[in-house]
Amino acid sequence: MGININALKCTNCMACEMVCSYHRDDGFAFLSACIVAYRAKEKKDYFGMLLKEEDVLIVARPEGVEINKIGEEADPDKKADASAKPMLLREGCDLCEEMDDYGPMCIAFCPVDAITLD
Amino acid sequence: MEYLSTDKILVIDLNTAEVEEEELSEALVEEHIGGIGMTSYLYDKYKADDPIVIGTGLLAGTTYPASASAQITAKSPVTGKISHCPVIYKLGVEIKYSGFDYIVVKGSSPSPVYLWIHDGVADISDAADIWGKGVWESTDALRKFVGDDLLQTMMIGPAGENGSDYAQVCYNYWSSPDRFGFGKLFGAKNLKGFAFRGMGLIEVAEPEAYVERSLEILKQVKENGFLEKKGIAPILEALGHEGVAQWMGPVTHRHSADYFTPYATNTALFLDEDPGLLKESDNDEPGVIVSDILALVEFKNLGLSALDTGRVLKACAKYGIDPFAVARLCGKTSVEEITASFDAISGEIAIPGSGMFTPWCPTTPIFNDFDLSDSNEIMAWWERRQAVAMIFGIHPIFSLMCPELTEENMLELASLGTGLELTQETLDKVIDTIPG
Amino acid sequence: MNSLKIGIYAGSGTSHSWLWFVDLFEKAGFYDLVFLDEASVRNNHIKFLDVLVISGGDTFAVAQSLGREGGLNIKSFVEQGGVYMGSCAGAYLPMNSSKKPLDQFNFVDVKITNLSKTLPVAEISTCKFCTSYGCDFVFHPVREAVRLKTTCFYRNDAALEFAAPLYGGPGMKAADPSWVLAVYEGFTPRTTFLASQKIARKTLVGNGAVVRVPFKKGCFYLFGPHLEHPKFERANQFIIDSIILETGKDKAYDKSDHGMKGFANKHGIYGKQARELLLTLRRELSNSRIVAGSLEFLPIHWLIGQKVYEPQKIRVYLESMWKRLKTLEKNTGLIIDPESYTRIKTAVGNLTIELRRIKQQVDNHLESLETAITIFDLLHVLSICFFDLYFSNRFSELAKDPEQAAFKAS
Repeated sequence: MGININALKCTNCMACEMVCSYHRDDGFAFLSACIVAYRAKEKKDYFGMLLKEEDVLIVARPEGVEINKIGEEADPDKKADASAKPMLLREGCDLCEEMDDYGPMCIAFCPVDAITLD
Repeated sequence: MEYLSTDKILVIDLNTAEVEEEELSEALVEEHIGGIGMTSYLYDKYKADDPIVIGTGLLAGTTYPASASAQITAKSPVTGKISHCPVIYKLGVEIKYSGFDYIVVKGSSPSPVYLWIHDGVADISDAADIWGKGVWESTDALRKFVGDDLLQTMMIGPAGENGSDYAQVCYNYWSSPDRFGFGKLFGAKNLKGFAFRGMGLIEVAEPEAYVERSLEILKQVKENGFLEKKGIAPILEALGHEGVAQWMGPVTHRHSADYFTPYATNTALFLDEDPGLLKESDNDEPGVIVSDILALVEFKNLGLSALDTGRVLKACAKYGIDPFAVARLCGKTSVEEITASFDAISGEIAIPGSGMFTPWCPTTPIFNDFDLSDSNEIMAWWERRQAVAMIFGIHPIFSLMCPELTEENMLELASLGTGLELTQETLDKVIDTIPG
Repeated sequence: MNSLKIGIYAGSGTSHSWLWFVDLFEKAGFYDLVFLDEASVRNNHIKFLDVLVISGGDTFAVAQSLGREGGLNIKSFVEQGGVYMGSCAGAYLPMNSSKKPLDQFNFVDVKITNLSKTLPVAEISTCKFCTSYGCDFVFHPVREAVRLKTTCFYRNDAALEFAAPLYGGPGMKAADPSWVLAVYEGFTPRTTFLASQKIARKTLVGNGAVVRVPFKKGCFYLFGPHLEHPKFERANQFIIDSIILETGKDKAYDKSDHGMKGFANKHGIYGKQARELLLTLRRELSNSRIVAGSLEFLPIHWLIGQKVYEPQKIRVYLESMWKRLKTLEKNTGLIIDPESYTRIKTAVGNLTIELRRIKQQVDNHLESLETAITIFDLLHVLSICFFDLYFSNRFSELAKDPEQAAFKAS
């Protein structure tokens, strides 16, 4: 079971980012969310979503979804470092496992149902 | 003020370059609630200094649906009235998370400056490098300098620097709801604008209840059929403007929403790029994002194609001039003539009702009739609806679409969020005392 | 009774896990913390400490930076009664090794169990799970939370079981079984196997996870897993209890020790000067955080030495300082030495400049490794100075009113 993102349905409203961060922080902030509304190309009207899971980063682009392994080496000949320590800044998606009432909050709060459960 | 707040009011004196902070007390919130309730109070407190007051709605930046907006309160240099302009897109929310609920800017600077507000720090920064530049260039320059493409700006362009009555304060790259000539006010103060960025955290008195109720309200909103639509064409068609979708279709790219706003009130037009392109364009500036629906339809009514309308809207946003005023007053019908006329237009743009709320918002319900029919009733409703939206920080156009967002549930969430008892009586009183 | 003085090594070769020790000690009420770089260890500033902590990172880089003098000073420190606590890389450091420069630190007769002449087959082929170590290879059979159990040599109470995460730390076999205070008991649902379960079990289960080696008047504590990780409270408590047990010092501050021993070069700054320093810190940490946040999701990493550095790591340091800023800002005055005052202002300002530079380099697809190295060096310098400032002033609050010190009894 996992998060499924339809980037074409997304309107970039950041609801997912806010409620995910709330799930982590118990207050309203954007710092800790594992799902982020990508909005850094504003003039180009290019937007989508980034979702951090345990070991991978899901990049939900309007043209398609890309999955990147986190922590891939800067040197392509080297493999990932097994002694790397977690940063604990943005943890991987846990499908809001402690929030029985809502299930994953990003899904509950998305106003256009761009995020669903696989 | 512990909850739903940064607890801070920033007061900047541009004459002396002094920056001070005041506490936002619970007593003030109990009396003025938030948004324009508070900015009106602050305006009055500092009125001798002709202040610009930036405020954030009490619920702005939370999980309440459409809690997107902040406000600018100032005396319009054009109408002479104290007026309130919504701050939308993602800018409204960024202001609160940058560390201040309210910002008062007094006086004038001896040389051009911009205010860089970040994480509870207010820096008066030299604007020499961006004075004289357009809105887009200025925002680009600041984002590059600060090192963050998510920096949010409130900027004037040449129109404001040159003292045009139609100068707008623009938001990032886009035209704003400003029909009051606030851009002229900024220019007169040698204030190029603001840059905001913050990574704050807002505490909530009863977070679980707040979030639960927010979700319940959102579910009610989603049951209202209008959320199946997207963008500005359906809004214009609901307002009686026919054929907009077909007219805009060939240049329409995607639709986007302001913070936490369930309806996508913005439509991007691609002018120099295939509108069907989904991947990132190689063109740095392929088009324009439109939120000013009435300006759009004014240009359509002048006989411009959607492509040419987009070009003019882009030019207006770069120049920092009110596109509705340009459309209404320029008397031209080609892109080149219209853009050449920016400095020459003259005439008056009527501000409806009491004159304090922007007609950028259509003065009528959208998609849902709110059980209103009489035009006087509608205008009274509209003024109240705008006031309420700007006290609580609700997207002003969305508030015209959505009967599910009620004063009652806004007060309920305000009380859950702040831990204060905020009543209908208080809200009525605050609305009555907003000057206009 | 003197108050407890703990030194945390934060110099070259460290990763960010020493910040976990900072959080742990602050939560436990240990405020007399000293932050050490390689120069301070080589110059023997550690001789006045009760406890020296070396956490995770690149063991070889740590050894290289500390050098022979640093090694000798650590040895002397423990011989004189000091407590050395090494976690992960810090655990490997004092173990016998023929590989340079680790051969300057052969203090304890403890062998690594995850050492092999031939590599076991990696279950997860995308992970490089080994490092050459002398003639052999150190390999990491698992990552994440593992189960530990105390032995009969740890106090006389019933055995304790708790979890702690392993990120490259050793399994250990001690020359004297009584040195083993806790063994690897097994694995948890969160354990990630990088080799077969059979090999993982053989390498770790029943072998030393926490080893205490007595050394003249002092001792070496070697932690294979990161017992200091913030999400493992029972493991955290093990560390605190061990410190109290070893030093005989509780956390209560003793006024008679106040003297300005820890503050020999420091003086107070008040009013405008204090406010300016704090405002500078807030301004530049904010500016830095903003850029660091914008780098976070960009597909960029830097290979510095043998380690990969990601943009997130920059924010880890910044957030650790940022969250403590509000506490500092409550002070009307600050205790700081003039050199640190200048160093903080310079480092924090330069950090913003370098971060903005690297953002432009990344945006323009230019080489950014040099700038990254500068940034991480600046972060080390700044964080050492910042935490020194922070805890000096925490300690001084304590000096004003020891009754207000918050501490937990185990």
